[in-house]
Amino acid sequence: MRIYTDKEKLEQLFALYEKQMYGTAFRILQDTGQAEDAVQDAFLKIMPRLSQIKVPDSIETKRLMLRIIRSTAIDIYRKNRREWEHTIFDPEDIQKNQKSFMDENLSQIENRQMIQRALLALDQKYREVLELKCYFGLSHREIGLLLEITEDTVAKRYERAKKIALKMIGDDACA
Amino acid sequence: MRRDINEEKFLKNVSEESIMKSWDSGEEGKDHEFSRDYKEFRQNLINQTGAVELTNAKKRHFFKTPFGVAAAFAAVLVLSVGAYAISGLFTVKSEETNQQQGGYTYTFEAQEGITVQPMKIVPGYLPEGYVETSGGDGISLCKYHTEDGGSGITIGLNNYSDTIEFPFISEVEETEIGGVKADVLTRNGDIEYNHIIMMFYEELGQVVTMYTYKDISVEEAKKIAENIKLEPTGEEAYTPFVENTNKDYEAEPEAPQIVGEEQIIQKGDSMEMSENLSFVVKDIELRDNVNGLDENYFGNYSTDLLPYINADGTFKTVELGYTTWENNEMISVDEGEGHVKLAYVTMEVQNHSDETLTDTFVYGNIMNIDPETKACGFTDILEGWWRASGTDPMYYDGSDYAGEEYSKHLFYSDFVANETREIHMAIPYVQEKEGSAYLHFDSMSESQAEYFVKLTP
Repeated sequence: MRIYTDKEKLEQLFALYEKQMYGTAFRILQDTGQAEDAVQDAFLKIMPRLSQIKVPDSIETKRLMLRIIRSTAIDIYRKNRREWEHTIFDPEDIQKNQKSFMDENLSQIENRQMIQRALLALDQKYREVLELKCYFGLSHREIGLLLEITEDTVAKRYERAKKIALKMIGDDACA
Repeated sequence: MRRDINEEKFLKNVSEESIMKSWDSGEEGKDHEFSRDYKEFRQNLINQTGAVELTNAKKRHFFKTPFGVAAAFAAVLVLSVGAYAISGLFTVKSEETNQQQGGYTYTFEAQEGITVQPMKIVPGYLPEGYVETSGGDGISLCKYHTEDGGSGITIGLNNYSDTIEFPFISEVEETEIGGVKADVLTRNGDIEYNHIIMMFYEELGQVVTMYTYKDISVEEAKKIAENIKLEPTGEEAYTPFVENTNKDYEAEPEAPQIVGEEQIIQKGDSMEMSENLSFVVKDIELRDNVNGLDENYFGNYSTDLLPYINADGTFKTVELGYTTWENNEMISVDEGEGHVKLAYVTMEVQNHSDETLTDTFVYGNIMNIDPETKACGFTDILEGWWRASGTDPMYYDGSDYAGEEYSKHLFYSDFVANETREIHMAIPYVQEKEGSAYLHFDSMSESQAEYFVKLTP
C-alpha cells in the first residue's frame, strides 16, 4: 500500500510542479515576483486539501495543479489591471457558438483523441494564442500586449488556430 | 445523456492539453531560479506540514482489496537520540520531539553574520534504472524515478529554515558519509519513503536531505549520498537557517474537525457553495451494484472498474484496516472484511449569476462523523482502485470536459449564466461504516462553504 506522509506528499508536489506552475503563471503575469507569489498562493490553497491528493504524480493531480495555478494567476492578473486602472473594455464579442460538434454518444476517449490530433496540427505560435485566449480568457488586446504583437495579428492567429483545431473535429465527425 | 461539448469547450480542452504537454516536456519554467523568499516559503511550508503531522496522532484508515500485498512488519528498534553539535558555519541540534508519532527535529543555528554560497546538487551515482524526473538544475528539489514511473529518490538543499521536523522516525544512525557528517533516519514498518539521509556540510553552510523509496536498501541510499557533489552556482551569497517569521502560512496544530449542527443539512436543502453557485441533493440511492449505470461516466470502465466487481455487477469485498504509529513503527491493523456499496446521488446545481462560472472548486465526497464527538474524517484509500481515494466520486455525469479523469470531481463542470443542471455522481463507501457516513460538500472558494448530508436513502 502506498502511504505518503503529508510532508512527503507536499515535497513531491513541489518537486513535480513548482517550475511548471511558475512558467504557466509567468505567461500571463510577466513578472517574476508575481509569478512566484502565484505559485505560493496556489500551494496555500492546496494545503487544506492535501489529504485528498492520494497520488502526487497522477494526471488528475497534475491537472488540478494546473487549474489552481491558472485561476490564481488570473486573479492576480485581473487585480493588477484593476490597480493599474488600465481596464480595457474588450469590444470583441466572443462568439458563443453553441453548436455541438460531437455526437452526443461520443465517448470521452474519442474526445481525447481528437484533442491530441488537434494539438499535433497546431504550431507553437497558434497554440500560445489559443492558450491565452481559450484557457486564460484574455482578450485580443491583452494577448497582444503580452506577446508584443498587434491585436490584428492576435486575431488572425486565433482564427487560424481555431480553424485548424476545429478542422480536426470536422474530419473526425465525417469519418 | 448530456454531453455539452461545443466549440468553445473543445478549444479550451485543446488549450489545457497544450499546456499539460508543455508541463510534461519539462520546458515550462525550466530556466527559472526561484528567489530566496520563495525557497524559504517552500521549506517552511514543508517543515510546518511535518510538524502538524506530529501533532495529529490519528489513525489513518484504509480499505484494501483482498489481493493486496500483506503489510510487512519490521522488528521494533528503539530510537537512538542524542543532541550534538558540529563545528563549522553552523551548529545543529537533533532531538526526539514527539514519541507518539516518532517525531525527530533538527534545530540549526548559523554563526552570527555569516553568509553562504548558493550551491546546486550534482548526483554522482543513481541506482540502475533511475532517471531524473524533475529538478535537473540541481537547485530545486531533485527527483529521480525508475523509468517505469515507480519508486523514487528526492534530494534537496535544506538550509533555509532554522528547524526541520520529521515524523515517523524509528531510528537514527549518526555517521559520516563521503567525509560529510550525516544522520541516517530510518522509518520502520508500512511506509513508502523509509530512509532519510541528512548531510551536514559544515564548511559550506549547507544541509542536504535525501529521501529514498523503500525498495532502495540503506546501503544503496548511502552510496547515492556518498556520491552527491555540491557545486557553487556563482550567485549571490545568502544568510542560511533564518528563523521562520512568516506567520501567514505557519500551520497550527490540527485539531479534529468538529462538524457544527448548522453544517448538517437535509436532502432538498440548498447549499450555497459560493456567491453564485448552489447545490441541492435531491435523491440518494444506496446501491450494491453498478448495473444500469452508463459506462462512459466511469472513466476507464474496463480497466479501472471491472477488476473490482463481480459478474453480477456487485463489488468484490475489501479488507478493512488502518495504519497507525505504534511501537516505533508504522503498522497496518486488520479490521476484517468490508462490503463496498455505491451512493448514487442526484443533485441540482444552479448558477445564480449572469456570468459563466468556471473552475469553481467544489469537492464532493463521503466523510464519517463520530456520533458522539462530531469529529469528522475520511475513511480513505481503496487500495488498488484507480480512484485511489475511495471517498471521491467514481462516476460523474456532469463533466464538461473530455477525459477519464474528469469523471470524478464536481469542479470539472462549468455553468453558463443562470444555468440549472441536474447531475449525478456515485461514490463508493463501505457498508460497515454506513451508520456514520455523510455526503460532504466542500468549496475552495472564499466562502469556504462546507455541508454534510446524511447518507440515507
